Amino acid sequence: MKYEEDNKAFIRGYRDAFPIFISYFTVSLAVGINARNAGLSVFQGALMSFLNLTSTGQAAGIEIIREHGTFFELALSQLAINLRYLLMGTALAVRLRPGQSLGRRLLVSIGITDEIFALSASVAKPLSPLYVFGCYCMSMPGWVLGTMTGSALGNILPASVVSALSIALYAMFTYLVIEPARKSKILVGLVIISMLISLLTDRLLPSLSFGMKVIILTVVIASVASLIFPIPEEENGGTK
Amino acid sequence: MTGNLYIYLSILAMAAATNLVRVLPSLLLKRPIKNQFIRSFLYYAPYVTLSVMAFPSILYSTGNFYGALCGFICVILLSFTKVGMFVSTFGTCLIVYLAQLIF
Repeated sequence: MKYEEDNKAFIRGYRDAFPIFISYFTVSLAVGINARNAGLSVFQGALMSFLNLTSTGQAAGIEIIREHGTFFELALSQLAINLRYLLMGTALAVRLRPGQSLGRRLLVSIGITDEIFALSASVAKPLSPLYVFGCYCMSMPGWVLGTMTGSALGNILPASVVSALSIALYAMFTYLVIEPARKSKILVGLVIISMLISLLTDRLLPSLSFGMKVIILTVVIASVASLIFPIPEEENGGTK
Repeated sequence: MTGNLYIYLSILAMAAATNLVRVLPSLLLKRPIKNQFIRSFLYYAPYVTLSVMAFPSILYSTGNFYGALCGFICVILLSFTKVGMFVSTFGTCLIVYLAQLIF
């Protein structure tokens, strides 16, 4: 029974993540090209993508390696850029049925990326760890294969196609935030305000890194929203 | 330090930091959260995070501002229909491709 449930959740996650496979493949072409330019071999680029699975983190990391930065600098940049995974991991953990073993909770952890998180947070509760793992198993190869292809073949696609494809990830973020939010006035307001403050922050504090901006704005805006519009018990319990 | 050793250690340093923030919630969070503020925060946080990551970065993602603006408007409109994520995302890419022929 349990096995069958897990199986179904895994297959559903695997299938749902197909758009992520495509967009990861296209985005990581650029990551592969950058890695090659910074002196990484095809294998090293693929290893980095396999072990890290983070677009903004790797973009920053490759830049630091190119400049022969310190390991401390590398680690710190990843912490700052990817600290949002902490929020995402916590948000997913409360969507699981309570009492999951550590091994099953870790299946969720290894798959946390912006895109897999967005997909996993949008399925009905309780979330199955195998759903997230299914998403990971579909998405990760796209990221690694794209990096290898970019690194090995360089720019194989015409520039106009690469340019059009580079909006795919951002279009997906926008879809994933608007599709569920449109049913609630509070959420629509929250999305619009977040986007405007994000624009304003870019204008006023252009030196703030992308990773820090995401962390600071998330903490501040979500805290204010929670104080003004605390959600009632039944809507987001995570307690059942 | 030779170039290759430096690169491998760099990759490991990055991976350690990135995966640390991934596994911490699983290691530390064992009981359901009862506090209303924290639950509200965790409910709202993903919407804020995704909004902030999407905008205004989406406008600069293609290198062609007006093409990207068409894409942004297109994906918002598609989000209000029932076509789903895949069609919305790649429909947007197609619109951007066509818009770039004009702008």
